[in-house]
Amino acid sequence: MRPSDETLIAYLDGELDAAVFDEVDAALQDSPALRQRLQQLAESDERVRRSYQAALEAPVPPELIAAILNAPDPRLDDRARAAPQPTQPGLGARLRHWVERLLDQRAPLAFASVLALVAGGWVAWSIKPVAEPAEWALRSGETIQDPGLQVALETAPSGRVLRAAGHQLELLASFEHKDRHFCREFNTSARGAQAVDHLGIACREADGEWRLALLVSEEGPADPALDGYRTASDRQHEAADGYLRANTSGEPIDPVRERQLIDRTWTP
Amino acid sequence: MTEADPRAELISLLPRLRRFAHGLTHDSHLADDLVQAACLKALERWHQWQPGTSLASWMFRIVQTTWLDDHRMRQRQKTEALDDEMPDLPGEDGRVVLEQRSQARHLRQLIEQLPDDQRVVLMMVTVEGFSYKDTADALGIPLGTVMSRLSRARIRLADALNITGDEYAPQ
Repeated sequence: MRPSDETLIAYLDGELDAAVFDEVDAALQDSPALRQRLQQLAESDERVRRSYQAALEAPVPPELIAAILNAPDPRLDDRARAAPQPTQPGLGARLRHWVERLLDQRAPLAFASVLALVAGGWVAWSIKPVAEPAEWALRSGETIQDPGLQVALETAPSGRVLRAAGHQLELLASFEHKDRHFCREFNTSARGAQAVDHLGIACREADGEWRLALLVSEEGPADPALDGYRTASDRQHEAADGYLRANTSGEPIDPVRERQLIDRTWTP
Repeated sequence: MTEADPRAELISLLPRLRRFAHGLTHDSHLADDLVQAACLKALERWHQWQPGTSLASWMFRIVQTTWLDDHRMRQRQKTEALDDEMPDLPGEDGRVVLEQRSQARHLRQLIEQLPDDQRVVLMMVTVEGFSYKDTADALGIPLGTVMSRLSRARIRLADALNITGDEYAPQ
């Protein structure tokens, strides 16, 4: 008996039980016409999938992300919701602030496409192309101006490697400074045969800016094992460790507490 | 407070939710409005989601019901407006005209012409890869209904696309 189109469709979807599957298999062996029909159905499905591929890959509008981040955190119980709102803007508002700044600039940022990268369930951010060296002019003692790096310091958990536009950024760990504010150690490098690698420590000021407390840069060959990027050298790490020992407990903040600090705008 | 931030989890689903909403609305602005409304609704009702179950299928359900509640009327108005503008949409006689258009546009038009309930099932199973059972559960309809809507949609598309399948044609 010739299987119906509905059965052929369930066959394509892997939704037939073993006995019926075998019957269909046998019928297909015997009938070129049936194989032709199966092929038509499969090709049609494939075209349907392809026609929606662009919608999947299209950048997510920043406004949509901001609207969701600005919604109240449903994990807070009613009591917490009723409590006075913190005077610091919430994470969503802060992110929207950055997003709006980026959109205002309309610079060659391709920020929209960067937003399409959703890094492990968190928002990805822009890292500017290497062709704009001014944006990466990191100097100890200055506040961090690059919006991508600002957003990353403010919102990204440690341990994530983010890559965009030929740059790699990794947030290594967070520390509590002896003065009760917080610092984050990060590593950035550009991709290329000779790439500059920065190992930095940025500390959050009372006004919400991140100030670069330490920066140790080195130029060196890229590591093919790291897809053309490189990581900080022992010399860079020793310098950073020296700073951390002198100014913090030296112990990184554990991931749970770090997550809470990110949610609470880095307030102790 | 150690569980993941629900807002971040929703953000990670946005590309798929937008594709699904696009399939329902055929309009990128309407699709984003729909996704935003559905996400905010989900956050308000977060306590109804059972941890351990698929967040994706719960969200697809909310997108679909939100669409039925809020957007169908707008969609209908939009379709009527389009019909007014283009009274000479090609029917059977216009097949030649259709064939001259790009294949992709033709297919999109065919999908748009499917009944809403068939298109929802087509999007969930064929495009999103949900199983029949998950689709039935998410939409709150019997499994047999998923199968019949799905096959009607796919038979219609396969026939209209006029794919030859020559490789397997009878000799």
